[in-house]
Formats: sequence, structure tokens, C-alpha cells
Amino acid sequence: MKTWRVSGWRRWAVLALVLAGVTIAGYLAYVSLAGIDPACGGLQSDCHTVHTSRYVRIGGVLPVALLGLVFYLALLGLWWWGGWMQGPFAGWTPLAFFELALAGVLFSAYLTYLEAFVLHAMCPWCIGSSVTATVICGLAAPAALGMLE
Amino acid sequence: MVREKKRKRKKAKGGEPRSRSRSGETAVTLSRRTFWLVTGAVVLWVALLVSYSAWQGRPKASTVSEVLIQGKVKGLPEAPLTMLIFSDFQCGHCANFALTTARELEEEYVNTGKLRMEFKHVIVGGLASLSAAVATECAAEQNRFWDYHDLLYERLGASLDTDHLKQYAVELGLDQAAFGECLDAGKQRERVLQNTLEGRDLGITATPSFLIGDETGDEILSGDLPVSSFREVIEAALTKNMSEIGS
Repeated sequence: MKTWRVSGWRRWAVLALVLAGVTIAGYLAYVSLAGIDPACGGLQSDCHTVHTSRYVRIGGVLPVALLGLVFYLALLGLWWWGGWMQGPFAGWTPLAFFELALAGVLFSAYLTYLEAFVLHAMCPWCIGSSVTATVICGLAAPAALGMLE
Repeated sequence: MVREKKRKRKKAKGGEPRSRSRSGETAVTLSRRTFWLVTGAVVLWVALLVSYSAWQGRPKASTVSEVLIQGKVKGLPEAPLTMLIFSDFQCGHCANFALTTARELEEEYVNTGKLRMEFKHVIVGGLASLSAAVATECAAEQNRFWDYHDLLYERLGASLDTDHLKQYAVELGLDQAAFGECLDAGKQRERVLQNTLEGRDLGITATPSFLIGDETGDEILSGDLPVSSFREVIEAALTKNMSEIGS
């Protein structure tokens, strides 16, 4: 029986990526709430376009970057719960982690589509977050699929 | 045997039998059906979120009723006061005024029929400002001046080259062919330069500047002033206007 706890190196790789995600999303949430542009070097103009677009707040209120931070913190919580907690819910964490990561990948894909084909401007922080979520989802998949009969 | 039957029955219902792993933790097994049901629910949930985001991100009409918008003018033609806004699309203070103070004034005075706002170009930022101004005039040909105006100020600092200006038109759902033709021909350039000259004739030397008044007199304001400064001038002009009507 494969469980999250015995997935070896993947677990630590996932932790490193989740922490990277928390850092990226935390920074983007900070700049979004402070009303400033993220530091993007040569792509500053693109970043400005992305971060002032109509899509940066859901419902015109909730910053997407803050949603991203909540997403990574939830992944971190599930990672911790699955690795260290006992009890009936701990066994479900591989599935919950994978499904949450999948939701993140799908939503990131939509945001990347907006950047590439609607706004025609790419924000490297956002791309970094999308790639991070995708790799996390890929690494989490074996543990979730291992729950199948 | 009985336990095995119970287990099969539970499986048939989609349940998940539990077992304990060697490390003593509770391990859960899933039927493929349950796994795909959960995954489907997640995909559906994200699809709803994406749909909502796309819906709320669509180009919107201005906050003022479309009836009140005519070209570069917002407000009823019979409004007692007119406010001319002299502005440049590369000016940070102009952006701040357009995206904050102007919206408050709009709620308070334009939507209530007391004030009409009219935009006038003053080119102080060079060729890029001129191109942006021409693009807004091209949007005005489709009665979408204010939407284009808002978008340019929201994207202050972004490139104002022809490709970007055309892309903004796509984002706002303008007739691309007509917009592109207007922009490439530069046929609104004269109108923009005429606005700038009018501003100079009126003594406008900086952006943003404002001329607020009626037939009896005007007051010029300059800079990104707090909304209270505008209120003070508008209220005084409205009071004066009312007393003149009464006398």
C-alpha cells in the first residue's frame, strides 16, 4: 500500500517546491495589496500590464495573488497533515493534495493563457508559480494514484 | 466469507475499505469511480472559477449610463456646469485623477445631472502621448473613448506603440478594422493637436488642468488635487448658477 508518508524523496521535493510557491505567491500578494508593480527587470512593462489588468482581482475584490498564497499555504498544511498526523483523515491527504494541486494547475493554465493571448504580456513571477504548481501536481500524482484499488 | 461479501457489497456502492499499513497509519483505498468523480468535481469547480473570472474581466461599459456618453463627453447636455479636463496619457497625476477623483465626481455630479465632463488632449509627453491620444480619438469614433481612456491610464507605463494600442482595442472589443484604419491613417492627429492649441490659448500649461464653469464664468484648477478641492469649486458654481436662475 503506497501512502503519502512512504513516498520518499518526492515528499521533500514537494516541500521545497511548496515553500518556493509560498515565497512567490507571498511576494505577488504583497505587491498586489501594496498597489505596486513586482520587480521584473527587463520585463517591467509586461509585469505592469499584467498586474494592472482587469483579471488581477476576482470579482474586482479578491487579488488572484492572495488566492495563490492561500493555495500554497493549504498545500503546505496538507503536506504537514499527511506526514505527521494520525487518524482517519490523514489517509486521505494524498488525494486531497493532488486534487488541490490539480485545481492550481488548471487555474494557472488559464492565467497563463490570459497573459499569452489576451494581454500579450508575460510576468515571470506568474510563470514561475504556474511551473511550480505543475511540477508539484506531477510529483503528487503517484501517491494519489497509489490509493486506487 | 460473510466479511468478504460485506466488503464486496461496500465496494459495489463505491465505498472505500480501510487497511493499516506496516507503519500503523490508516491507509485509504479508492475505487477508480470515486477518484474520477472527485477529479471531475475539481475540474468543474475550476471551470466555474475561470468562467466567473472571464465574465468579470470582460470589457465593461463605463459606470455612467451609455446614454450620458457622447464621444469625449460624459453627462447630460443640459447639465448646468461643464468641466473641461486637459490631460496627457503619459502623465501619472492625470492617471491618478482619472482613476480615482474623476470617478468620485462622476458618481456625485455627473450621474446626478449637475455636471458634464469633457476631455481635451494636451500633449506634453511627446510622440507616444500623441499616438495614445490619436488612438483614443479612434475609439471615440466607436463611442468607446472613455473605456479606452480608462484602459490607457490603468496601463500607465506600458508601451504605447501601434501594436499595443491595437491590442487594447482588441481587449475592449472594438471594431478592429475600423480602429486599425483610423490609427494607421493618423486622421485624428489634427483634432488632437487642435485640442492642445485650444488648451494653450486658455492658459493651460500643465496636466492635468481643469476648467470648471458655465456661460457666466470659469475657474481653472491644476494638478492632481483632492476631491474636496473640486467639490468646493463645483458647489460654489452650482450655488451661483442657482441664484442666477432665481433672480
